[in-house]
Amino acid sequence: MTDHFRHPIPGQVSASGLHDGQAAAAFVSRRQLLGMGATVAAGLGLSPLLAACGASSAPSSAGKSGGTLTMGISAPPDTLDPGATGLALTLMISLAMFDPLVWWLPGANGTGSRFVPGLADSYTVSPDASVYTFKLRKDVTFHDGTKFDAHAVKATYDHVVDPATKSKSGLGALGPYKETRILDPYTAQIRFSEPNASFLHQQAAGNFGIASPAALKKYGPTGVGNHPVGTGPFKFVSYATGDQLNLARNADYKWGPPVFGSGPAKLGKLIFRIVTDDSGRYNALQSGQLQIAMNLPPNDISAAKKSGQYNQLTVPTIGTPAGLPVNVTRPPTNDPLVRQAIQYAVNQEKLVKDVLFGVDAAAHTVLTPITPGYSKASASLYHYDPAKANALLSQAGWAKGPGGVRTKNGQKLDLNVILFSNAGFELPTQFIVSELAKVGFTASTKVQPFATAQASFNSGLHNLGAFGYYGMDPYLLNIWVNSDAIKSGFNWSHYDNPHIDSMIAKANFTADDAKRNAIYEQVCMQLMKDAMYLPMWDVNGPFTMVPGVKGVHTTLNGYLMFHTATVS
Amino acid sequence: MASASTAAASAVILGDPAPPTPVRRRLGQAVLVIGSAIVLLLLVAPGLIAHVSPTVTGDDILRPPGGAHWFGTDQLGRDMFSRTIYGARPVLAASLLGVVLATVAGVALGVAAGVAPRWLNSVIMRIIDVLLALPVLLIALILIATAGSGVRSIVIAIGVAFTPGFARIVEASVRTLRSVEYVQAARVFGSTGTRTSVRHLIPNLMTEVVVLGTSAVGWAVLTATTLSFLGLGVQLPQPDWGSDLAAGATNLATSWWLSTFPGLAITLTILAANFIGDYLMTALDPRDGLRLSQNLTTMLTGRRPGNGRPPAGAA
Amino acid sequence: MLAYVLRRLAAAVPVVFGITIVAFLLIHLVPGDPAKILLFGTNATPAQLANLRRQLGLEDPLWRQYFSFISQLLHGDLGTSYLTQNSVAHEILSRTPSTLELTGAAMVVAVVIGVPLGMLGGAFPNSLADRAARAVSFLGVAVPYFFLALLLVLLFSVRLHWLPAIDNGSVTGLILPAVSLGWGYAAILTRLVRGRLIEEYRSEYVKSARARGCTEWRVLLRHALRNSSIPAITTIGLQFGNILTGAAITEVIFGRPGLGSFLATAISNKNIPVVQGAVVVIGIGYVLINLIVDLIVGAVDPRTRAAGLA
Repeated sequence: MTDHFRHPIPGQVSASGLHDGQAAAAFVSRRQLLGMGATVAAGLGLSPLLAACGASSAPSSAGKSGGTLTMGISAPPDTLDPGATGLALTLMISLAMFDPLVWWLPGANGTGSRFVPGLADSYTVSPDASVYTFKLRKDVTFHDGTKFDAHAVKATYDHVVDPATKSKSGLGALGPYKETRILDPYTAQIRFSEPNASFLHQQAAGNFGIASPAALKKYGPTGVGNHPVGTGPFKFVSYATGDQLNLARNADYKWGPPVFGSGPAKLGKLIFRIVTDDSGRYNALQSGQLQIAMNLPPNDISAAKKSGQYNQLTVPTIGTPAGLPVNVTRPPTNDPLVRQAIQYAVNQEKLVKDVLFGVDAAAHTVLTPITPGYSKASASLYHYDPAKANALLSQAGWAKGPGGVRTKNGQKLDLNVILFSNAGFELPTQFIVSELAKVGFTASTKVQPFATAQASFNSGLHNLGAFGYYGMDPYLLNIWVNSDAIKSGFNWSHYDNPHIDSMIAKANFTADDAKRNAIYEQVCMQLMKDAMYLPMWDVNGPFTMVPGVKGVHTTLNGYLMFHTATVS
Repeated sequence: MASASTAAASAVILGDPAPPTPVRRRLGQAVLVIGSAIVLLLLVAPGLIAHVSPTVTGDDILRPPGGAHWFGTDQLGRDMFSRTIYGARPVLAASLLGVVLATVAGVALGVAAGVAPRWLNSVIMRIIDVLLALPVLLIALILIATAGSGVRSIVIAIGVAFTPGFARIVEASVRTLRSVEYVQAARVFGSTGTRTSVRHLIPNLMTEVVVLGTSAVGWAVLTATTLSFLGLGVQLPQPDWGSDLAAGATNLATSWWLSTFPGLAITLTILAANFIGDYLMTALDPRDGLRLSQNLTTMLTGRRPGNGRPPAGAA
Repeated sequence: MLAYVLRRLAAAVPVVFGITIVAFLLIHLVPGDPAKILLFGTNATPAQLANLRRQLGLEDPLWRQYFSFISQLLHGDLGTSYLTQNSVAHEILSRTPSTLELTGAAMVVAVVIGVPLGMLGGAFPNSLADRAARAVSFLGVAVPYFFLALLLVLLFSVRLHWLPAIDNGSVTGLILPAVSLGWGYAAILTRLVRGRLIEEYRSEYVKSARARGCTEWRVLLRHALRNSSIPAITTIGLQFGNILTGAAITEVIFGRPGLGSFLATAISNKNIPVVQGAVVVIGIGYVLINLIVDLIVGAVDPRTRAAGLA
């Protein structure tokens, strides 16, 4: 058994350690006029951070104590219980109110990563990675005054798997949980029924912030969603539904990550203000009602940058770039030549420059560049070449007819494009459609509410859909590439390739990082060869801040931490 | 803001006690004729006004108004003047068809309820009450989630939204008319119930229905553009005033022309619709619009002024 | 009077019942699986999905789902939100005050702007003041309120910094949204008051009041205006459902956590209990307002009672 924190073993911890596609799901939500799809879209921009550029990650500098920081978020949390939530947004909020057993943070010099003690002083892992034993701190108290001990750990993890909790993300992320054993009042042992090498990364993400057993008992499994009680640097004060979440400093906090300076938070109050309308959020930043605005639309980010009055923190994310899944079972996109022609016909660089004001980076493959297992070769497979697109379409038997539209056997080369509303895809898709029209496609584009769109995608009514994904590990490919996700899951390309399915599964069982990444690279290559996805831009997390905000930390899984934040 | 009653209320812009002067009458006629011509043109042949395709993209993006592009260009380089002209089509089509649908359905329901025996009248009026209790947005959202986007869904949404109000008014008028002597006389001479209604009631209702319908157009335009502002029922990349306004909303401070021209277009259209509706009201009513303005009160409050009798089944 | 009240109540019952049916059917017609939406992106297994569907009662046949909805309703339980696991009643109640605030403020704006303008126009028809008043309210009807809201925010908040861009809990935060929403209704009121005032001025008792030597002011206030105000108030009251629509959009633009935007999100994500519950609440609210209006009018004018209901 290896004993961690005393003898760190180099190479064993890496940013790619995570397995399961994690809680953070979904789409960049640019226009949320009615907050439609907000529940899905929420938590966007909450992405794993690598050593982020922009706002300082230097621990507590000269900022003064006290003060109120108000951050504008684009959607309301579904619940304040990290163990139950289905939205990544809630995880950012929970990191302010809860602590994990072990932190997973960016490395000291800004590269790599490291594990740092949290509520556990140290831990050991069994050789088969199915048993994790944590030695707990003895000086921790919850916001309600009760003491933290091994019972709290057991209560928290059992709560996640309790059917009455109706946990969404936590349940999936926990994997094959068997039980938590209390070895002694300050030693908790978490046991899995199968090896689960990803657990350490999972538990650091925020789903498993340790909650007060007294609170769990008092409010019940779903009641704690309205009354969160943790050990974190901020306490829950009040939540005005759909409006504003108020947190206040926990003066007793002294068990924060040592690398931050473990004492109480500097801010007096931390407020999360829900402003679903994109323009509204930017207006509020400009009028001084917010100090940080999350997920502003590209034109406002561009305007903010130009004004020189704001700092822009854009956090690259592990995940699948925003793009259009190509339905490989429906004509004409059931023909590989047609699909490849689509890839050649689109100029993502121009799209990003014109439509997105250059705010995001163009994407050319199914994973973002910082994702482990990203294949550079797959990104170079296609390039903008309308002549090649034309040639491929002619080769496929589609001849140019009147009005420039290609036909074959009396049928037009027609694409049915379905989008869901308020994900910011409307303009980029219209751009793509006009590029495709130049090589002879015709298309009709419909925008549907999310529920309807999802049903349409599962029924395969579309040729091109809309998608994007924020995750923590390349295993997220399993969610939308696996053939068992076609009927009722998120495989909206209707891509059925058993060989790929088994490769992804094998990768997830492979402990060695280099070997695992190599398998994922092969998967990416095959997916792009089959042209089952049309990438547009790399998803990321944009935070626009006033200069007075300092001392904000970022984590590897894409959150902002306010342990040492100050505002002036 | 989608009720026929408020529609008619807003239309009393020239509710003069005095009969319209010849000048005003001429002006009203002129607006009616020109307005109809423009509407026809916009619906059928917008290409005659705007010479550029509204969906063709270009490299000249976000250009302010001026030069080749009278209304500027948008983020994909499309000509905004052309989009504003072509954007009239879905709005006008949806509003006009929606009002026609509501008028036909409202008259049918109202007449049916008005000539029906008491119990059936009760049932129909209760159903109308249920429909009136549902907010338009809700119906539209659900419709579009179910039936998909496109002008068709908006037409149905407007139809469903206005029908109950129309039906109520028509029902009240029918019941009043039924008590009028010539109808009773016709009955004495052997006309059946339905033939009585068709022969005698509908021509008398015509005036009222026409005025109601035209007054409702302005509100239908507002409703249709509100729905497309929310992104419902829009068929990309076709231009539409509401969705173009929404698309330009975040850029209002920097690229004002994206939202402003569609917004102005909507404003002018509603103005014109109300103006025409009001002109028709005074033109068609021999008593200087007095009788019709009494109808307004009925529509607004569900009860007639003066005789104090509520239409049957007022909720 | 009692018989009238009972008759009206009896008439309201089938309407409420009909509303529950419509509420239930409408949301169930929306395609999509709420369980899938809830579990989107969470790497849930098909077993988890099936389990959630069962927990939410989605596996039951429609009639049984309707019956459980109705029986819950009769016990005063509006259901539990799929998304938050909070009761629908809690979700709606916590957002209603904001919407009511906005709607109330908009109506105040409508009355404060609309009625005086209408009085001006009705008292001096065809004068310059009348034309000016009508022009102002004319614009109120024609400019779409969502466009107006965007322009107002741009001018008064972003450019001038006089008023907040989003709701800040205070009255100043209510001004812009109330004006954008209320101006249109002010226009309606203007026309209404003006039209009624003109009619009233022609009526017999105004003539007799003048003959008796009442001053113009007295005539205006006591006779003419009083009779115009009831239709004005009933109009606005009966626009409940429509104002809600306008309020929903205004709420989103101004960052107010109200009922309208909440409802729209719930529809989009097929949060069945929330939509059913909210439609029922809105429907009942409308029926109640109608009922109250009817009772007031019935009390004031006995002739309406006698005229009876079908």
